[in-house]
Amino acid sequence: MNRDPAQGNKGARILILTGATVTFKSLIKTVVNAKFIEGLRSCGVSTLCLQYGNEIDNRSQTNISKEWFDKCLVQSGLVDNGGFSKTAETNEIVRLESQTANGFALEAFPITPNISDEITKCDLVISHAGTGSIMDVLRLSKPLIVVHNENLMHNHQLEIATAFDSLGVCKQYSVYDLCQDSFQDYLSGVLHGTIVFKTLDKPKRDLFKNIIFQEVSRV
Amino acid sequence: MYDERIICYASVAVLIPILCLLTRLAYILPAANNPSNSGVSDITSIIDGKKNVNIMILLGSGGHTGEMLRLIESIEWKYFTRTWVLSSTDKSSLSKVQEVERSLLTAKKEEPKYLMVPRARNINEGLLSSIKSTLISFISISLAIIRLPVLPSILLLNGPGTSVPLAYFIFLLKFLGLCKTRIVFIESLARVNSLSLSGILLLPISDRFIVQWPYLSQKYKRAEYYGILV
Repeated sequence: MNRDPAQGNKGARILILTGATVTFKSLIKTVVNAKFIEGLRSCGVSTLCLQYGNEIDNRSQTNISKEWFDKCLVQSGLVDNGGFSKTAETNEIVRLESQTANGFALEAFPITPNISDEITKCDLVISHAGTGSIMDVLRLSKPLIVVHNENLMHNHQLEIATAFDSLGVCKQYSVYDLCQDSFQDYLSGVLHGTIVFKTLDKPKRDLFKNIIFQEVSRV
Repeated sequence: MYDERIICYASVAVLIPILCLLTRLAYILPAANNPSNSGVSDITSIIDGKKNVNIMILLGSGGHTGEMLRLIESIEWKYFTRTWVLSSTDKSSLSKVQEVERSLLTAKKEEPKYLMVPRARNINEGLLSSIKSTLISFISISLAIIRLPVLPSILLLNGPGTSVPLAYFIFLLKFLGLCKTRIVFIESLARVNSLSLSGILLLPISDRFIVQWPYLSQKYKRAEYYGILV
């Protein structure tokens, strides 16, 4: 996280987690976008990893999230006019690379069983406000930006994002604000180590184990 | 005169059992008793003295399963046998828990039990159909539980819809004196300012009610808060 992208030959790596069961359409559309990626490059980012989701259509058994990602990719014009070309494509992962300037890679995958490995490899995570993803990132002490999904009314995403933001352990952003110039400044600050988050307290050792022991002793 | 005596006897005959039931309820209802979370001095000796302590763990789905598996990481499994309760459609939780069980093979030789039950209250379900699916779930849970060789000593829940029929059936068994299961409810980390419906319904019958955000423990007297546990 304190690596200076201007000095190293390899830039920062960012991971975006959009949730597994519901496609976070507005977030995917916002980040699979030439202007957004240009903004990342200007902050010293060289790899963007996007986990786009695994929402399966009940009737056709197709992956709705993947269809949405593919559609956004076409609309973004990254391949046609953006200088990107596909260098790898399987059912699991798509990799696009651009050779201009310092080079940039976009990797996209639906879900992965080894999410911890992906989080460990990156310098910063932008995540939807699901508690699972948030805790995965915070327990690995990676800088985290949380984006709530406005379309999930019953999922308390805004409440969760606000609550974690107020602990000072991450920063809450709306999808809309990710496109603003101020986001680039913020991102740059985090990647260069001028903005530092608090570390989330670990649960007290053996706390839950002792609760269970206490209850067993009362049976 | 004769009629009056009959009425007297009849009302006594009706009221005494009701009074007995209420006394029994007041005796076992956690909400009617003071919560005690005082430490136990020598825990392991107590555990060692008890044989065949079973923990029943409900795995709801996606987020609930993830939180539960993280929560129970610190439990020392050599002391306990396990009964996992899962939704019959939830293959992803089943494979996750089987993976956990594989890693425990050396710790405990007894095979874990898996109860597959229909899910109560699906997402976006209306009130009437929620009640119906909860009833169906209640019946199939009761049929599965009465067949178990050992009733659990501890029931661990963290809020999926199926928590409600499962906990109330166990509570019924406690009421009838068939088991002394301690019900431990941990509210989901996703609940910041308000309890889940399952949480509200289970607050009176849970022996321990643990929340993960401080405001909830200020709002509800019986809710305990120790920080984020997952």
